[in-house]
Amino acid sequence: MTSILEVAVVGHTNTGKTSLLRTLSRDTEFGEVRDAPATTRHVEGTQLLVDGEPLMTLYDTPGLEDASGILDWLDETGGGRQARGDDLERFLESPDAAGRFDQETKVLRQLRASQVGLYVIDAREPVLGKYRDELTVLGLCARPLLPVLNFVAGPHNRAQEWRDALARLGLHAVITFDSVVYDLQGELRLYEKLRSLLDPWRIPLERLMQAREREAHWLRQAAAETVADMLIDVAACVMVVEGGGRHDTEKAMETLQDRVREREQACVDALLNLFRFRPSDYLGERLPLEDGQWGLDLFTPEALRHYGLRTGEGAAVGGAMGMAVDVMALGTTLGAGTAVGAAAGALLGNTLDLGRRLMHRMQGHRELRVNNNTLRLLALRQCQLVQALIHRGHGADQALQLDAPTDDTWRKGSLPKPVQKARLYPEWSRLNSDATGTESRARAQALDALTLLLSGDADTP
Amino acid sequence: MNTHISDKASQAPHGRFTDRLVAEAVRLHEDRAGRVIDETSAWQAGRDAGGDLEHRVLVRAGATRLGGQVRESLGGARTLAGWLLILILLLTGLSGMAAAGAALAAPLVAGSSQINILWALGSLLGVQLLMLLLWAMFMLVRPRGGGGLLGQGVLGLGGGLARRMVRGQAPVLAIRALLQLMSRNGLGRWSAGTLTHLIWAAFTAGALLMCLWALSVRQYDFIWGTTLLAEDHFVALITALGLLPGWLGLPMPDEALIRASRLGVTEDALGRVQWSSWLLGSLLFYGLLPRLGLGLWCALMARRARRRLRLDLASPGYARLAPRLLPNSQRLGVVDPPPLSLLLPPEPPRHRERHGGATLALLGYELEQANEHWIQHHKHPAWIPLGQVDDRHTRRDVLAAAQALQPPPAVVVVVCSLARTPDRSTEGFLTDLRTRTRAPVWLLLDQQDMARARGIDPRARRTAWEQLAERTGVDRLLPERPTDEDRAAAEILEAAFAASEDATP
Repeated sequence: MTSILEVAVVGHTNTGKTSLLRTLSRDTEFGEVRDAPATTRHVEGTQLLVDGEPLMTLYDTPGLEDASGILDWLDETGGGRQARGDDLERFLESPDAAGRFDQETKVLRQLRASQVGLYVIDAREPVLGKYRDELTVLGLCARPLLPVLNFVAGPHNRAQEWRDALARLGLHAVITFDSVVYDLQGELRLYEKLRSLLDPWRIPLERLMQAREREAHWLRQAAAETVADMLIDVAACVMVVEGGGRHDTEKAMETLQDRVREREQACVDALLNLFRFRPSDYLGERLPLEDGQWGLDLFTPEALRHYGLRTGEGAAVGGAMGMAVDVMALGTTLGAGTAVGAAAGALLGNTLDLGRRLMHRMQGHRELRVNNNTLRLLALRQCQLVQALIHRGHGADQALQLDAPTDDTWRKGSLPKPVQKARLYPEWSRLNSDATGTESRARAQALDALTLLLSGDADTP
Repeated sequence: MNTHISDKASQAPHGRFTDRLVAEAVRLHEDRAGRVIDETSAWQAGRDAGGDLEHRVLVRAGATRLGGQVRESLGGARTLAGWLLILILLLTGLSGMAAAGAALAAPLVAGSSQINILWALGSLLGVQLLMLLLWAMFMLVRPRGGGGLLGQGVLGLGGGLARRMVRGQAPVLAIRALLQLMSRNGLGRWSAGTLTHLIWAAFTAGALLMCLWALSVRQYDFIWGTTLLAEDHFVALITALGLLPGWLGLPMPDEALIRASRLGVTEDALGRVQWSSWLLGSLLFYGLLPRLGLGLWCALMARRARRRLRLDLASPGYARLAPRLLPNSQRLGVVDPPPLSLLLPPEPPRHRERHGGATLALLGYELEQANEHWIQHHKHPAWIPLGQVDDRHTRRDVLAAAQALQPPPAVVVVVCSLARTPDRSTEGFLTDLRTRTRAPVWLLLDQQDMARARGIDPRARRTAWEQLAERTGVDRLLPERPTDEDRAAAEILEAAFAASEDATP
């Protein structure tokens, strides 16, 4: 056997067949998705690739709309006896098949050309007679059918009703897979069920499952590292303000804010790209940052409060400017902005750095850096985005919205060690102009440690 | 098919170290520049390369212009490094000769030809045995940073020299990439270890050669002595040291000779051949061979580490390439196109106005919770229930009932659920209903609350129903306007029916 497993995705109109295909193929641009009947009027195929090799072909079909009409047609022309497979043949060759039943004919032809059908069900719908008629007509194609209950993530679904009804029709293998709220286990179960139905394609299906699992693991790793990299960049970012004028400080602060904002945006872009989503899939908080209407901007006290963070009382220099910073002046520095223990310990082994700072101090320079709460907020937001992307199906049509996070890891206690350490190494940050240490082993180690921490977070659902 | 697939999977192509070095150099460049190199041909080459992500990344990096330059510069660097290594080995060999020369020349300078054998051996092997111990300790205690001071020093020196001497983007990138890769996976440690042992082996080889030369053309008397230790200890030590070379057939001093060679025992020096072969054998077995062996071992380990080296594909610099290099799916396009000439929609049926009649025929179409629905329980005497459509049998019954209704009703009202998507089956039913009756057909959209609870946009859904109503010639769609409040559908119908009664002439 040299052919590839062919799967026809069939179902009533507007049940999310194209969405399912998008999610399974990780292709947000496949076909057209709308909340309307008969959005797809043609049959379109896509191949699932593993390491460039096609393992399965999925066919998107138009929605079944008038299966009852076909059964009526068969009754009228068949003299009242039970419809059989050869009746279907008769139907497909009739002029009506190409005429008023064109959509249904395409579905039936494609199902007959495939090895198996996925019957997509909008599980929010009640089990109506027309769906039973559809299953009867599809049954005439003599192909195994695997019902897929879509839209099961919401509270208003009738999955159990559907299971009972399908069991009465002899379909006991039923899958729940939401094409909008993605779940790796659900996808694996889908392939597992297909494997049990189609023994000859056992090996490609197993490869597909392994590849999906591997990929999910890699994605989590890569996402965690992307976030960790951003956090280290921001934590290590330092601006040296020459002269003590208020104007200089303000200007430096603006520059710092801009750089941090850009860095966060770069991280968001990288994450969206990594998970193969469009930039428009996370518009909600993108635009406000871009065009200056800062709905939920990083540095406003409101934003900090929204995330349940307390703004440090003494550290706020620019409450009005919307950002609390530590103006690093030696002597008060060690206690104010950075965690005392880590700072003292690291500074001991960092006399060069100390000397540089002393020089700066004597020249009247001051150092400006991002405060802890901003770091916490960044970490929270990005971790939340990663979680949301992990659970977002590529069939999802609406832009992602993030709620207030429920996770407490970043809100309480001291910042993780690698972040504290990064505070003391300005050369680690790409945001600083003299970033000589971005390739250093020490930074790589801190990055690894932070990645481990973040991916550990990401594993807890 | 099965074997074919698994074969291909196990043969996943593994690029060589050079390829990884080039990829790392390109990544470093992209990392610093802040964006990826966008060369269409390189992307294409990566995609066409097939195989897993790493292979594609390697091919793509090699296909970029920068990758080519890095690869070119690597050739030159490799030759340079080779010459540098030879030079270093030569120099250390010479210094080994100098050390041996000094050790053997000392008694001559002092005007005697007596060599204290343990003293000579200690001065030639002592330091490097100490260094070997240190190396072993470093390997055990600091597994990430070990590798021998000398080797690390040479590597660092090479890197530092290269950084100062090399000009041009590609060579600098190549060196940075090499340093990056060296820091991973123990590769640097083993490479440094190899270098350390090679250098010491060269040193010992030089010393050995010098000793061989000196002992060949000069005459020495071999003696030993001690102040503090017992003679038996010395005898045991010397015999033990001589065991290994002795097995190889080199003549070794026996116990009598050793005791006889003690300083001041006899006037005549004895056993010159045995003593010199003991000295040379000790140098060979405790100096040169261990270093060579360890060097070989380290080289093997370094090779293994190099072979096992994989790019860190989860790092942002590589991960961001994945979506463009490794597609998850390939669209096949439309295989069964929609019909070319869409049938012209039939002329919309003529609008009907209410003509007399006082009753209203009411039917439900694919409603949810049909049994509890208000059309089952309403108390209007003028509203005649026709039943509910759920499948094609009830549909037939309802149509027949609507046709047979006597006297004909003033209006036929079809109650539909906004939670349903209007489809062609619905369309067919409404068309049928309208041809079989003479009264105007109204469509009442109910269950808006249910639709909303499910996350359906009621307005968008209503638009779909409006289009359907247009096509089927439905005479009136209720409620008239989309509303956000969920008003009871029965009230809407009641009001509309009453209003139309008033309007009837």
